[in-house]
Amino acid sequence: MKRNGKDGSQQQKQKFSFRSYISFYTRFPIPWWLFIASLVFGLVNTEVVLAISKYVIQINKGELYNGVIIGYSLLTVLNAVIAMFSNLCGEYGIQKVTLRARMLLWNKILHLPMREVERRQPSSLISGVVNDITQASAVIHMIFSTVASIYGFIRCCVEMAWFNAKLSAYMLLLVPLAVGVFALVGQLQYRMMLRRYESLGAMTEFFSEHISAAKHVKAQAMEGLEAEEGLRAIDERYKADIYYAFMEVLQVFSNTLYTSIGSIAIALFGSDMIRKGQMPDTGINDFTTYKGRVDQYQAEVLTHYQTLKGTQGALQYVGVLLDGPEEDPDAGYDLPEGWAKEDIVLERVSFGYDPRQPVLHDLSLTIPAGITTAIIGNNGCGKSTLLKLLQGIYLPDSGRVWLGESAVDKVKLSQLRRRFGCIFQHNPLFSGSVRDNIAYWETGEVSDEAVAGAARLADADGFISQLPEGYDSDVGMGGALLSGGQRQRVAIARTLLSDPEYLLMDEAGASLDHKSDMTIFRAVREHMKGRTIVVVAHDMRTVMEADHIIVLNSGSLEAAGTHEELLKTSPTYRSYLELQGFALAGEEAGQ
Amino acid sequence: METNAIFRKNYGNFRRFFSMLGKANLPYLWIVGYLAASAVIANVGVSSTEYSAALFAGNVGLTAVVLPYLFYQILSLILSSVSGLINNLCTARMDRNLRRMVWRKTVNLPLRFYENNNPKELLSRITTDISSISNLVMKVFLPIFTTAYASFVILQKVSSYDGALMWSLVAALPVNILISFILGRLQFGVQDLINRRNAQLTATVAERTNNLMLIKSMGTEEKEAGVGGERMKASYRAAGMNIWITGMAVPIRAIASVLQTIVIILVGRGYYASGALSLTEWIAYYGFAIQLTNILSAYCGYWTSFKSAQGAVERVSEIMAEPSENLNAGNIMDSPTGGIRFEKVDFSFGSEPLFQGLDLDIPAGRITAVVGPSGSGKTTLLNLIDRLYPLNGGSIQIGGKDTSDYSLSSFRRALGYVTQESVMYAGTIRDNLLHGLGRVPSDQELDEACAAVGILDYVRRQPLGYDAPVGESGASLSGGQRQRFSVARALLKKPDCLLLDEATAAMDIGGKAGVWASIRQVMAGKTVVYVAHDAQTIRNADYLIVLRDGQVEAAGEREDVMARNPYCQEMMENGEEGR
Repeated sequence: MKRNGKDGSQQQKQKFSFRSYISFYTRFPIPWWLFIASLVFGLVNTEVVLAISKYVIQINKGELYNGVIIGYSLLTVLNAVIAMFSNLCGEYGIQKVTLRARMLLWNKILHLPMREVERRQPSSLISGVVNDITQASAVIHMIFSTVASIYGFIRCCVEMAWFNAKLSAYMLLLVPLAVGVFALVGQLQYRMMLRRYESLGAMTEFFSEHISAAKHVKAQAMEGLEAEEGLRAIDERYKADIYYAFMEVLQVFSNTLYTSIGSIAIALFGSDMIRKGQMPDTGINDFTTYKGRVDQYQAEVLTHYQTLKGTQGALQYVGVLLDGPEEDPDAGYDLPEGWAKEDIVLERVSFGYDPRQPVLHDLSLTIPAGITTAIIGNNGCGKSTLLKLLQGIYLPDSGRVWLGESAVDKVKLSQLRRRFGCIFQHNPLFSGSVRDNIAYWETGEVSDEAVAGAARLADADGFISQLPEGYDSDVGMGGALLSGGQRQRVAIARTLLSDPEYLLMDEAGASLDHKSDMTIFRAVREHMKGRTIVVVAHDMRTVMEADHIIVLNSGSLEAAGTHEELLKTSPTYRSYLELQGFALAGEEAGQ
Repeated sequence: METNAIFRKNYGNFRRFFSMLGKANLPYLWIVGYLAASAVIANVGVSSTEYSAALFAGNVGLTAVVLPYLFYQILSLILSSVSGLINNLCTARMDRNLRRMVWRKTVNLPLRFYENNNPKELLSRITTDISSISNLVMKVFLPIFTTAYASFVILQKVSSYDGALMWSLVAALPVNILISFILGRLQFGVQDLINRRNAQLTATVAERTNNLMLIKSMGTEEKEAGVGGERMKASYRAAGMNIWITGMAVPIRAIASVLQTIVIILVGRGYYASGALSLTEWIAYYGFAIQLTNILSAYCGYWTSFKSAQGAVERVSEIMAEPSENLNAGNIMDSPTGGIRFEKVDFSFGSEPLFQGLDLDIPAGRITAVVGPSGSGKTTLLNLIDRLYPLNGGSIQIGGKDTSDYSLSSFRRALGYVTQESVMYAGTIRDNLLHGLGRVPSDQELDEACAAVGILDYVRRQPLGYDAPVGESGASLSGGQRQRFSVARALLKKPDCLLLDEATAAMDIGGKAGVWASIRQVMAGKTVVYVAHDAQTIRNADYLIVLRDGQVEAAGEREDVMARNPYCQEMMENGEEGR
């Protein structure tokens, strides 16, 4: 959230464009009638307010007739009722816009290319859907309200001038002061909120980091140091609060000063005019009442203006996001029908997150269809990146990935990804039941047998049946109620149920113990017999079970072939085997 | 009914709350200052109203009315600023003092407390809960006095015009106050609903946005658009309810205030008509009546914040009531040399016993690996050696001496422990390597430590070298890099006994081999105990312990155990076949 705020303000300074404002509001239907109704109610209410003012003046003059009391009472209630309708319309308009814009943005986020998601950070996207959108949605209503407030301001000014033009002219002299005070207050507001926000962010970051590191702290007996650093973080926040304390008072002081100067001017000039007989005895009462209304509308106008300015960052963020790139899952050619019996071919593929440091460099290789291929290499050699290229999650900077005759960047993404199943080292689950998670991919009804069958393959049925509610047990947020190994098994079942033609496994066994890892791996291979499996693994026993092995070295192909071939051709492969205690096996095989 | 329950429950908590405030070292002087300023303001306000009433009535004598009016205007401007400042400073100090108290307490709580509480929840104890408590004091408790005094001053003034007038005012008040109270509660309830709906929306959106990769590879964008959309509609419906309740509140409040105004005017009219009240006094009386209503209604509005603060109070009081660890009682542990012996150790999490009468010997000066299926108690074993949990029975000895004789802080400091989480803090690489080290090693020594774990090249590649920032929780580093720095940090401590929990699990095959060679070299002749689950890492041990379901299944020289133990054989199935 913090990051996003900063981002927004920077972008806003660089290239603030009206286009993103306009294009944002052309993307969904806007309930204009609600906003217009709200405006009309607002305009009508101005007249009611002025009529009430007349009664207030009378009451203050001691003209306490029944008619005055009744008139005052009825109008006050009427005013409230009209205000209620005005608010109802306006607020409903805002909420409708929020809902529509939010769903639009959510859909957009779901279709963002993965690179864009990584660049923008998930936390800023989340805050976009949750917070920024509400600010952006309020803008239209704000514009209508500003119109109503300006009308009220002018209307009350006229009324005031009509009562006493000379005194009103003096008041007019105060308007620049009002604007000045407001600019100052706005500036202060911005600064103190920023400082406060940043200090809160810093303190939260500190404590969230340190509370989750409690075990490390305890293990090293660093409680003393920890307490000290925590107190420092608290004191930083305190300093920001002190700053806020002074600034807020300065802000309130300037506002009050402005109204006080008004009252003082009225008292001085007004009393003088009364003495000279230019104004009736009780004129200060009348005039102050009108002045109060004028001030009220003036404050409304300026507040709306400030708020509008404040929404710029949010609107800009949302606008730019919506204008940005998007994946269309249904654009492109159809993939040929039927079971994929086609090799995956990488043709001179280069790819890098940072153009200066390519992860994959001019890589050409073939992953044969229908068998199991293992990919090995050091941390950061591009194994996981390679898997993402196969499914079109990333697109290569140059070169091409082929699925038989079809180029991955030209076919329908929805069909392409449907053919792949993925199991990672850490597989997220979504809150819901075990069953919901296993049947995640399916949109329609899934039979209990199918779910249980997939669970059995993944060796998950044992622990699931021991859960208090079996397949209906809740897995918690992100699967937090299950252990790492249990999550992994549910994720494997989920992938198998989707019946993929190509299966990608990235360190899928790392959170299982060895026996289960091998058991599941073999069961999966059995189930996927005749289909293509690509495995990234650090455990050489898994690697040796593969039919085909690819050795990557810093983004380039070092060697590819069967176990026997690689023993001869790949020094990296040999050293891995040696390090895991397979040295003699290798030599024997080589002899 | 629900409301009643809330009120009844309050009384018990008040005592705990005040005892907690007692410990918090509140800024009493500032509080007294705030109360004093509020009292003066109440009096100035009364005078100010009287003079403006005179002006309204057309009494424009310069020295008699206009100048005093100006004086009071300016005085109240200054006073209200001063009082606002004191109020803000008071809140800031209270926040700080309460936070300090809670953090000092939290730091010294045992590990079990952290394991039983969600870190996010603990975080909000220190951040938001503390703010609600200060708010409760400043906006609900202190205003009891300030509001009461301001009302008293106003009523006193009105009774100086006429005693009966004051009583009629008092009689008219309750209706309005009651309405403010009810509306406040209703609005609080809806706001609470909105907050809950928004929290659900955020959770749903966050869970999916953080896992977009999965959604993409599964191709379930449409489904997730629907799931998110449902949450958004729920938020919309809650907002709609709020619109109606807030909307209806406007006319209801208006009707209440109109009714009250009618009463005020009808009562005042008689006095004014009979000449008992002058025009000035009538205007002042009317102004006072409105002011009094406003003060009391505003106060009732604040009461609604009481409910949200109540949870905060309870949660913070709970933390303060937790028993702390006594870190400094016992002998000083200098150097933990000698074998580690578990004697009849009992330990359980809750009611599930993990270890029952566990006997175990870990040889001195050698490298021992602890292996076993997940859930067999490997990590807990290391935690018990480092005394992170108290034993339920039995003892653990190092070099023949019971470890519980030593003070916790000196004992834990003497042992090195690299935990599974490989903790990094926001800051530079250097900050992280030196964190808690207690001395400043030379760059050469840092180079050696980094070279030992194979990360020196990475540090060299950074433009800022050791001063390169690592990001929040080390976010700019990969899992393998974080583990390397964690091991380097432990090696810099040069402990006589080192515990490692899956400390090289995220490293690649070549990296693991290098790091283990370094550990063997640096820790030569010292005791190392580590937990691992992959065959490559286990090969680095001299001695091997196999745990299963909290029992020692096998223990002995690595090669012996590997040869006989079924778990190890399974693990090594193909691995050792060539030997």
